[in-house]
Amino acid sequence: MPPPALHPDEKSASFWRDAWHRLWQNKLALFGLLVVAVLSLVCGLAAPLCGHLIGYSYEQQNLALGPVPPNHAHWLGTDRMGRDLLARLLYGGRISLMVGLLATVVSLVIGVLYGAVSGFAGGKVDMALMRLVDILYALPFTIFVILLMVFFGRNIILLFVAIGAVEWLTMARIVRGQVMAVKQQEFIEAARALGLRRRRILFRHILPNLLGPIIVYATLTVPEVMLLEAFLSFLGLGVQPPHSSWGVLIKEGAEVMEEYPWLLTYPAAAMALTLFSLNFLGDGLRDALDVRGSKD
Amino acid sequence: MPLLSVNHLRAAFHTRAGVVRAVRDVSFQIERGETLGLVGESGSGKSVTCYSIMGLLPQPPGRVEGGQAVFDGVDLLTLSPRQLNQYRGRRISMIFQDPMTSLNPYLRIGTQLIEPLLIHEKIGRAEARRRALDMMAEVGLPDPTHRLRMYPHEFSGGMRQRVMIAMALMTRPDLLIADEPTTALDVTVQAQILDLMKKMREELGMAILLISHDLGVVSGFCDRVMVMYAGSVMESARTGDLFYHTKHPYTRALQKSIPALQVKGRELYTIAGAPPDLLHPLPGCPFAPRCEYVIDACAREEMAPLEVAPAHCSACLRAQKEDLPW
Amino acid sequence: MIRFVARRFLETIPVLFILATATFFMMRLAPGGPFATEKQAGREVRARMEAHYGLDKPLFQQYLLQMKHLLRGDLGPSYKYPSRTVNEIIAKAFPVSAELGLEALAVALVLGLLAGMVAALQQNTFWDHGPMSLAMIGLCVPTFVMGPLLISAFALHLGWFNAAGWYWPRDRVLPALTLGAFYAAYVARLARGGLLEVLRQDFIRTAQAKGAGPSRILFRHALRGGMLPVVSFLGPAIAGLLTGSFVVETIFGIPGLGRFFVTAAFNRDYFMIMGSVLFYAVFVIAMNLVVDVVLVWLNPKLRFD
Repeated sequence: MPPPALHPDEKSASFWRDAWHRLWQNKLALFGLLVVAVLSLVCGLAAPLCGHLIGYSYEQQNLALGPVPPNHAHWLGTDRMGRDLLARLLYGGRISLMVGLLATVVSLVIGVLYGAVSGFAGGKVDMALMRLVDILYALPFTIFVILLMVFFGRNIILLFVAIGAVEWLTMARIVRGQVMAVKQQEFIEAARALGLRRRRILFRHILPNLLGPIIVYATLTVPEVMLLEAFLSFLGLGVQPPHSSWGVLIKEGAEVMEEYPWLLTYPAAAMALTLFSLNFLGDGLRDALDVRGSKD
Repeated sequence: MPLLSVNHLRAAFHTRAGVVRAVRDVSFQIERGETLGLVGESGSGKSVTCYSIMGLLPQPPGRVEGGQAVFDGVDLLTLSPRQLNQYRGRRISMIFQDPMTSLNPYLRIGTQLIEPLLIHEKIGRAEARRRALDMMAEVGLPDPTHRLRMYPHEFSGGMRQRVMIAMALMTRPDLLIADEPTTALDVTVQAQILDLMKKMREELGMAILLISHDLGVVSGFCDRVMVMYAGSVMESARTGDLFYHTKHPYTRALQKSIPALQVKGRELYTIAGAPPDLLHPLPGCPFAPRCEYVIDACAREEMAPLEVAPAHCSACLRAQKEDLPW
Repeated sequence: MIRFVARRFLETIPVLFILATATFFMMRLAPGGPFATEKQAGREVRARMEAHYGLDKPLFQQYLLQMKHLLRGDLGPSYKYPSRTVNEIIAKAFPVSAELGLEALAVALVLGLLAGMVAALQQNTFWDHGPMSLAMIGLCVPTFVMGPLLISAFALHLGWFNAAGWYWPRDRVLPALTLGAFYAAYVARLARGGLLEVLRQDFIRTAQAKGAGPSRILFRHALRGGMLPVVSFLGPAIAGLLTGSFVVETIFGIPGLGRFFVTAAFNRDYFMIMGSVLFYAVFVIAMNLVVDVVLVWLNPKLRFD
């Protein structure tokens, strides 16, 4: 970590500006950022877009038409029930991205709180809490998510929470590691020696150092969450009709891959593109903010 | 012929912010068995000089831009890495400042100790281990048989540095380069390590290039001393001459800055100004902006060390004109 | 060392206990039951089936009964396959999944380590960007897309392999690749990162100063530290391979435990679910113990505190 100066404003300017400069130079990461931004925008506005631009809604069926490859009327073709693929792709994207974002927020909240408490408390509390994380890390959480989704219905809120609950462990570890590292840094002692009060130390000095790793791992958690949602959709446990997500679309497409390849290609490409972009962006952020790994 | 002859060495770092000229035309020589001290502040270029000679400069930003480093008739700077490996660890060894990070934490001490022998000499492990045990006894490590199997983090700072010295001297090199070997150690341990190095020097007769920012360490240990500032050589002379008959304002200022030598109760002497910006070197003498005895010509004329007394070189213009006011 | 293992053992018992309890109550509290969907059977028949399996007793009594059986290692009968016990099903299906998992792990480690090492040593050249881009693909393509794609390309079009089944040795290739791809990608990135991190350390410079050549520096000095992140990842990787196998077994028609588990979940086959969950947990915890031992062996700073 670059050594922060004690003057709070000066530190923020140079560290974040430096990081932004590094990010700006990373073309791949910028590409990722652009793609994610554009996709989010487009999918977010799917509702009005569909109606005006494309003329079809995602649930509009045309059973007589059946599955049709891309053409003038339906830019990406239709599925087995004559539904326009582009419309479904946009709506599905909206759901997928939303699941990704919200589940990440859930895991972030749990993880940051847990990690911060553990790091600050230190001593036996910290040891106990981290031991718990170690144990949970080993268990295949996904099994529980499956059981939860099977038993308690296909509720989309439950989906967010369940997926988020799988991913919080890494975030907790990272945050705790950062808190411990920062706590011991000499500049904290220096700040205390200068007579700064604890709250000021917390907000001005400790928190900004946490922000970096949190941003990086949050960005990297979103693609993991989206993959998890796709996995659940494959098992029939994810998003339920009439909603669809990219995971659902991919599943349906994979089933008829040989006869109607476009039904798989476009959703898979969309998902892959988004995951790429998020991963590149996350990597770029990690390099820019100079974030190291979690353990030792 | 001197053992090591460095001529007009130049090295720089090509960073995003610009080119940092870390070593700007450095020349010196070391005779067989001689101990040369290299003194300077952080950023003076003393470590970079040695890394350049050993081919240890991190290549992407760092680059040797010119000059020669002739060791026993061969210019090390022209050698390929493979050829250089014939010299590194065998005829020229190096020890570093921080023994904790300089030893591999994942390998046992014994493994690391016998490595130079395994690389450079055709002997078996058993024989190598025996020599390692001997060397450990030489450097004063108690219970060597036991300690061979330990890991670096099980040793104290002083003991680790002893291990590093032992490791460097396993192949009985002709030249030992010691980059601030005592800086990271407690004062009492510093003295022990210096004594150890003196003892090994007597036994093995190798030449030593000792880098330090501590004048005290250098004065008790070296035959000759060279003072660097901002990547250039300011002064070089026999130790006694340098300290008692210094012919450069910077050296003089350094000596004046030693707290122990100053009058108690008075304000401490400091050298005015700040270290130079190596990204934008100014013409003339780099010390000129801070020098007490500066004249106009200092900031204009090209400076180079010239002999101003027998075996005594100084880059100071006024010294060269025999115009020093002390 | 013995103390380490023993302590792990002691920790595991309460974990399993909590797991069993949590699973039990979650299953029973969920709507529906194993016979809820047997529409053909009349209500009377259903009642009798439930009584036969003791499902009409009070919940807590069922719980105690279950615990007693578990302590004896008896995982109970399966509702869906009435002629077989859960123990039998697991005994037959697990080796299949284990084989698949091991092969996928081998794929992940061999491909991943190779790619990661090459990328680290040739940093910022084609041999770095190339393998890392491939790795990115491995990370971003879901297993159930990778599978059908591989089948389509190598089985259907090129005809090198069968599209499904688990009969011949050749049948192992595509499933192992499909399952292992994601982990190979992850390992590659971790290996590259770990190696780069180690290569920056001071002790590498010391090794160079000793005259060590590039291969000695890589294999004797850098690898041990560089592999730490990969080994740390093995724990969760094994857990992931386990769950990933559900998908792969379905796609390739492999009679492994994953498929049985998912089917059991859908069918509310209580004992099968419980048995699978506990079995998986024990297996994963055991594997993690092995991984932790290896980790300590590699990193002397961690020696059994």
